[in-house]
Amino acid sequence: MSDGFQRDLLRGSLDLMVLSVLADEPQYGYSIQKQIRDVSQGRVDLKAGTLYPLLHRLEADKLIRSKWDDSTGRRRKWYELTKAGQKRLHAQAQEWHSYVECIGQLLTLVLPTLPKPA
Amino acid sequence: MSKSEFDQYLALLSGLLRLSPTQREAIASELRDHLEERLEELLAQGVSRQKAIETALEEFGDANGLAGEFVQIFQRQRRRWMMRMTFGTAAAISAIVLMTSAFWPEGRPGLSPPKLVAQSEANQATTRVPLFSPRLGDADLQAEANLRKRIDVDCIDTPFADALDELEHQSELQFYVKVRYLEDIGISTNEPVTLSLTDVSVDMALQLMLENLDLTYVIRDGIVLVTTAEDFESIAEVRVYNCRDLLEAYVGYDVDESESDSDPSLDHGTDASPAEKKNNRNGKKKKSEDKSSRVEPHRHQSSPKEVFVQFGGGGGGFVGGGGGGGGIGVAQGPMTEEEQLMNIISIAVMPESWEEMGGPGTIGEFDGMIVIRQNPRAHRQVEQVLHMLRDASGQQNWQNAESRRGFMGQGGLGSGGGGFF
Repeated sequence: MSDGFQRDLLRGSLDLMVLSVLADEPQYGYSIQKQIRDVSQGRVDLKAGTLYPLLHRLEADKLIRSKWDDSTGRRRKWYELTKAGQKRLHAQAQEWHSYVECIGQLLTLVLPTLPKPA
Repeated sequence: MSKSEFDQYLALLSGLLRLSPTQREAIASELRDHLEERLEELLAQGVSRQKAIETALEEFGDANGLAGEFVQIFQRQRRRWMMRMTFGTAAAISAIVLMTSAFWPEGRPGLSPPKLVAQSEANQATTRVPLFSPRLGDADLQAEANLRKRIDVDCIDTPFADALDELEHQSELQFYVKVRYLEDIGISTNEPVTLSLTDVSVDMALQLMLENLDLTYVIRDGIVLVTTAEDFESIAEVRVYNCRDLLEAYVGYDVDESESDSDPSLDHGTDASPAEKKNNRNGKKKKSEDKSSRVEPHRHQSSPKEVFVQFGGGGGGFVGGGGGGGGIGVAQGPMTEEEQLMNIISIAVMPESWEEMGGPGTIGEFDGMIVIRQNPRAHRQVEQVLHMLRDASGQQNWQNAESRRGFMGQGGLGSGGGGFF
């Protein structure tokens, strides 16, 4: 397991991560956090203290919506994407792809001279 | 160690959340669920209980910072509503008023005193702009009059339907019973009714009769709709509360009108002549929107001092609709008086019924007038809160702030936003 990413690098993309985790099905806070941690192999450990304000902000922005449900045997607040959230996810995902591509292009010039990651 | 440390943390956090009790509780129970699940996971990994509790709590960070973040989101959201309301409101209101007033009649909940409406009508008759103040339809005026008729009622174990027939006959009103809703709560039109009164208003007789059955009524298009209390609550009704007196009474309220031309962004291409602008000044008090950075269109219709707005129908799309919020910059700085007033209302009146708590109610503000879409019961409470505020602040002329209202049927007209809840 490698080190986590720098905070600065993460800051702009946490929203996108949460939105993409919610793309398929409704989730609750804990499961969102766990999924991000699992998929990133532990490199992105979204702290609970960051996650919940983020969720509430996304909800205030109407990108996600929530409802309480206890059908899993536990009363939980489930989040899912709204239409606007799906749109935002698509737009941001595309933006990220082209951003990554762009950075990748730039780095091919310098990467060979840089030390390889461990 | 027990989980009481979770309780302590959440209690601390809740205390720091300057939100309504319902909101605080919602946040606390969401975080509790997380803490407990995290605790289980850590225990399963073989971490000691004490350590697991500490870790779970650490991941949330200090309660103060976290509470601050939640409150900030809440306030930002509130400003967002304001933006939605104020952005292009002048145009929106006139369009909606025009549209809906054409289709939707005046309605009123059973308990509101007709006297007030009449009185304020007299007060305002000279200053109203016709566009904004559709008069009561003939049908509604007739219904209002008929409801004030005094009659004798003598029902002893009379089937509900027959009792209504009798009232209908005496009052010359038309009744319509929403039977399906009655069936939902197990009430049939054969329910025995006992009510024996002399020289009672139709309004009162009807209320008494219905109350016993957990029913109530509203008037629409001159027809008395009898329905369940529950259905009644789901009826969204838009009302405009003129709160300029309260806002002006606010200490430090800025009534200086000289800055009204200072912000070019506020000029919505109105070609109002200087004379018309002067009219505006005479007609209304300058609001304090320039204190915050909100972009708010000035009203450029010539404005009477009190504007009565009545609309229904599209209200959902107007207030709660998703449109318009996103692109607009979020206002910064301290809450304005209007925001504070709206805040007080939404905390004091059925806190869980507002949009931010997943309820259907919306609140917005336009030029010192608070526009609220809520069920009639909530409106009654809003009225009380405003009344008390006026009493407390020594405002004498609260009668002037009587609101007019329009009805919209629940759901029927496609409310704009938040159908999820």
